[in-house]
Amino acid sequence: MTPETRPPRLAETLLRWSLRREERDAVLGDLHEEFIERAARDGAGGARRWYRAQVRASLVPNVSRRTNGPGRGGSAVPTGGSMLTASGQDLRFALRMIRRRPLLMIVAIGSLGLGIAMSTGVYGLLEAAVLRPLPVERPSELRLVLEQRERSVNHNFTWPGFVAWRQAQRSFTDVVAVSLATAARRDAAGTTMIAGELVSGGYFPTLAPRLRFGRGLTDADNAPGAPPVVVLSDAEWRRQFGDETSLANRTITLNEQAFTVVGVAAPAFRGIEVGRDARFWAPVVTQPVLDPSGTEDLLAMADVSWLTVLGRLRPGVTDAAATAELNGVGRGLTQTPDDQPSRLFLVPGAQGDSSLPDTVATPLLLLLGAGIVVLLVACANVAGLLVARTAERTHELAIRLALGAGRLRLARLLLAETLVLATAGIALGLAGAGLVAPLAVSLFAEFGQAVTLDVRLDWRVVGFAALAGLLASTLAGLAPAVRLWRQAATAGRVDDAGRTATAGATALRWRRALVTAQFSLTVALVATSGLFVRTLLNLRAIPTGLDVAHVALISADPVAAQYDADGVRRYFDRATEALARVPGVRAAAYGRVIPLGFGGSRMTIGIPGYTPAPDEDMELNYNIVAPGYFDALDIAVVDGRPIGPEDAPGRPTAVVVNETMARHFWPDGRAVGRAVQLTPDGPPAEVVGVARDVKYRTIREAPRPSFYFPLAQSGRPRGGVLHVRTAGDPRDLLPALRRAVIGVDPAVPIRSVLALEDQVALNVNRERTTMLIALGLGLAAVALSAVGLTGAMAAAVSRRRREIGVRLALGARPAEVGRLVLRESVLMVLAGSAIGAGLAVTLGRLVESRLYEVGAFDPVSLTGAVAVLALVAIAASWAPARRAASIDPITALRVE
Amino acid sequence: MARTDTLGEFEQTVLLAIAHLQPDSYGVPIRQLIEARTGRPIAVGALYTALERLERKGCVSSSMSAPVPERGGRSRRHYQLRPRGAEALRRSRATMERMWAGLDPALRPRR
Repeated sequence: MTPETRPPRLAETLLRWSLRREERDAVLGDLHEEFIERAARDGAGGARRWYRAQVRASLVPNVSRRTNGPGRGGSAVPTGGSMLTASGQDLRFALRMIRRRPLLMIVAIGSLGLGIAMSTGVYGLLEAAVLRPLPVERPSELRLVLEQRERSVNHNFTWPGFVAWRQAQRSFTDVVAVSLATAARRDAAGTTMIAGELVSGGYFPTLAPRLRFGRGLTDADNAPGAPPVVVLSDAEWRRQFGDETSLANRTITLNEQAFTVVGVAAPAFRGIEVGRDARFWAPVVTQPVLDPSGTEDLLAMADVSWLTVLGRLRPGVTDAAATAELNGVGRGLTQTPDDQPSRLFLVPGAQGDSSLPDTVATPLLLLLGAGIVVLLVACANVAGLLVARTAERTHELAIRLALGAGRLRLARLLLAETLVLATAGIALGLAGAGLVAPLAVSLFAEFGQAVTLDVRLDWRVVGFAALAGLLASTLAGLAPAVRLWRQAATAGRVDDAGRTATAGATALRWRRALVTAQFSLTVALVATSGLFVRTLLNLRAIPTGLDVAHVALISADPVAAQYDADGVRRYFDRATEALARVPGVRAAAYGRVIPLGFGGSRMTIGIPGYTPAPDEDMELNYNIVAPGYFDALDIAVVDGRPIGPEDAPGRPTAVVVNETMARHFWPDGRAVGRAVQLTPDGPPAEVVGVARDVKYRTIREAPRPSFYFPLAQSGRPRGGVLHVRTAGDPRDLLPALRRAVIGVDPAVPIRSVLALEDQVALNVNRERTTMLIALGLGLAAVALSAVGLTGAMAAAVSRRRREIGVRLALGARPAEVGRLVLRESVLMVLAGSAIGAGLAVTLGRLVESRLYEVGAFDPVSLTGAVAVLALVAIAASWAPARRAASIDPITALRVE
Repeated sequence: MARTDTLGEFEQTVLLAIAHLQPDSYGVPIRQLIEARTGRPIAVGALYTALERLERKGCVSSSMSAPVPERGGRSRRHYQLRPRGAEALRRSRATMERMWAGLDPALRPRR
C-alpha cells in the first residue's frame, strides 16, 4: 500500500488507543474504508483532513465509552466504579472544571509553582554543594586519609611517604595523591591563572571519572623524564579547541611550558574538590613546573607535606583494619616527629577533600527551611482558592450527594482536581527552579574564589519537587475535603439558597484563617531576612583602617613565569613604575599579602628582653612591602618612618610594627629603635616605625600584633599584589592598570584585578549570599500573601454585597464602606503579625550564630517586617475596598 | 426493562438509518446516510456511542463479517434492527405525532 492511500498514522494510533479492543475492527475499519473511498474521490489531502477531523471529534466519546465500560450507563454524575477507571474520569472532569475558571486556577498554579520553585531551587543548591558525591566510579568506597595531630587535623602528606605507602599497603585497591594547583595558561586571549590538579598515576584508573575521549593519566606519565601531558576538563577543551574531537597535535601552554593533551574529561567532572573548577590534570612529577613553590622540587622532600591522599577500599576490608594498617606501613606519609602524638585516620571520601559541603550545609539547610515556609504560604493560597471553589460548587456537590454519590467518591473528585493542580505546579516549579538555582550559585564564593556548582535537575531534585508539590497540594486540598465531609453529613437538602449562603460563610472563615496563617509565616520570614540585612550592614560598617574607596589591587605572579628572586624584585619595581605612569594614579607599591584576602603569612619571632607567657603564640602576621606601600593604602605611620628606599640589601633589616604590636611588646616606651629577632640566630632587625592597625585577613578579626619588612631585604620573594591608589573610582582605571602590568611582561600571569572595595565585599560574601537568598524567599512569601489577601477580600466583598448595599442605602458614605473593608484586612494582618513575631524570634534563635551584632529578638527587623506587610495588605485590599465603595445599592439589593 | 425505551433524537436517527439500509447496514453507510439526509457531520465516535447504547437497550443486534481487504483486512460490524427497536421507533413516532396533533397550522413556516 502506498503512503498516499494510508490513513494518517498518528491519528490512527490515537484512535486505536481510544477504542476498546472489541470495537477496533469495526471503527478503524469503517474509517479506513471511507478514507480510501474519499482518497479516490477528493484526493489524499482531503481524505487525510477528513480522517483527522473524524478522530478529533471521536476521541472524547470513545474514551468516555471506554471508561464507562460495557454494561454501565453513561450517567453525567460519576458514580462508584473501579478506582482506576474512575480516576481517569475524575481527571477529565477536573480538567474541565479548571478550564471553566481559568483565572482562579492560574493563580493557584502560579502560587504553587512559585512555592515549589523557591524550595526546589534551594534544595538543588544543597544537593549540588552538599549531598551529591563526586562523579566518579562507586564514590562510597573512597576514603580520605587525614592525620590527627595534637591540636589540629592535617590534610597534606609527603610524596616519598606516599610512594612507599602505596607499595606496602594492601587495604586499598589503589591509593591516589593529588595536589590542588593553579597554573598560568597562555593562549591567544592572554595569560590567566586556571585551577587544576597534579595527580599520581593511580588517579584516573582508581577514581575512574568518565572521559569524553582520549585517555587518563597513568603511572607511565609519572615516570621521571616522561613527556609532559595533561588531561583537560570539557570546558577547557571547548575553550581551546571548540567542538573538535581529534587529539592530534593538541597542546596547551601552562607556566610557559607546552603540554600535550591526551584526554578530555566528561563535562560533569571538575576534580576532587566540590565547588572548584579544575581545568587540567597533570602528572604529579610536573610539580617543579606547575606548582613552583619557590621552584623547589617537592617530589624529593620527605619533610614537605603538600598532597591530598585518597584510596579506594578493597571489598571486604573494614575501615578499622585499613586504619590499623595505615598507621603501620603508612607512617612515612607524615612528617610529624615520632615523639609527638599523631594518628592517621580515614574519613569517607565520596566528596574528595572539600570544605564547601561543611561550610554551606548549615546556611543552606536554614534556607531550605525558609523555602519550605514559602511553600506553606503558597499552600495557604491554593487551599483558600480550593475552599472558595468548593463553596461555589456547594449546590452541584449537594446534587451529586442527593443522587447517591458517596462521600469518598466526591472526595476523590476533589483530589483529582488537586492532582491536576499539583502536576501543573510541579512543572512550573521545576522550570522556575532551573532559573533560580544558577542565579543563586553566582552569589557564592569561597575565600574570594568563585564557586562552580553543577546545579541540575537530576532525579533527586525532580523527586523533591514532586514530593513537595504533592504534599503541598494534598495539604491544600485537605481544607475543602474536610468541609465537604461535614456537608455530606447533612446532605439531601438541595434546593434552598440559604444553605449555599451558610456554606459561603464557612468558606470565608476558612479563608480568613488561611490568610492570617499566611501573614504570620511571612512576617516571620521577612523579619528573619531583616536580621541578615542588619548583619550585613553591621559588617560593612566595620572600619578597616584602609582607604577602601580609592585603591585597586593587581595580583601578579612572576614566579609562575619562572623568574628567580632578583628577577621577581626587578619585575615588581618595573610594574610599579609602569602603574605610576597611568593617568589618574596617585601612588603604587608592592605588598605580599592582599588586604582582607583571607590568607597571609605568619612568622615566629623573638623580642630581646621579652619573655613570652607560657601559652603565648609568638607566630605573628607579617607582610613584605616595597617603599610607598603605606602611602598607597593611606595607612598612617604614627611614629618613626615608613619603609623606604634606604632599606636596601646589606643594611640591617627594617621593621614597621602595628600599634597593637607596639603596645603589646613595649607597653612603657617607644617601639622605634627596638630590636626584633626574625630568625633565631641571625642579626636582629630594627623597628623603624609604628603604623596604624589595619584588618589583615578578614573583616571580623580582632586587632592582632603584626609587622612589615622590606621586599628588598626579603630572602625569597614570591608573587604579590600591586596596590594602586587612584584619584577617582579605581574601577574606572582597572583596564588601563591591567594593560600597564601586562606591558611589563605578558608571560607573567595576572591572578586578579579588582577594587579594594570589592575585595572587602568578598569578606561578607557569605553573609550577602545568605541575605539575598533569604530576601528573595521573603519577597516571594510577601507576593504570595498579597495574592491570598486580595482573593480573600474580593470574596468577602462579593459575599457582603447585600449588607454593603443596605448600609449604603441607609446613608453610609462610600468612603466609610471602603474603610470597613480595609479595616478587616488590616485586622487580619495584625493578628498574623502577632503570631508571626513569636515565630520570628524562634527562627532568629536558629540563625543566631550567623548574625553579627544583632540578636534573635530585633525590634527594628520586626517593626520593619510588620510595617512592610501592613503596607502590602493595604495595597492588596485597595481594589476590593474600591469595589465595595462603588457598589450601587439598588443593584445590590435587587439581587435574589 | 419494560417501557424504559424512550429514544433520543440521535438514537432515532440511527435506528431509522439502519432500517433503511438493511441488510447492508454497517458503520460507513449508516454514517453517510445520516450525514446526507440531515446535513450534519457525524463523528464515528459519536455514532458508535449511540450504537452501543442501542445494542444495550436491545434495539439492535450486531454481527461481525469476514475480514474485508479494502478496509485494511478488518471486519465489518453489521447491525440489525430488532423487534424492540422497531417498537421503540413506532412508539417515539406516535408520541411525536400525538404531540404535534392540532399544532400544524401554528408552527408551519410562514412562507
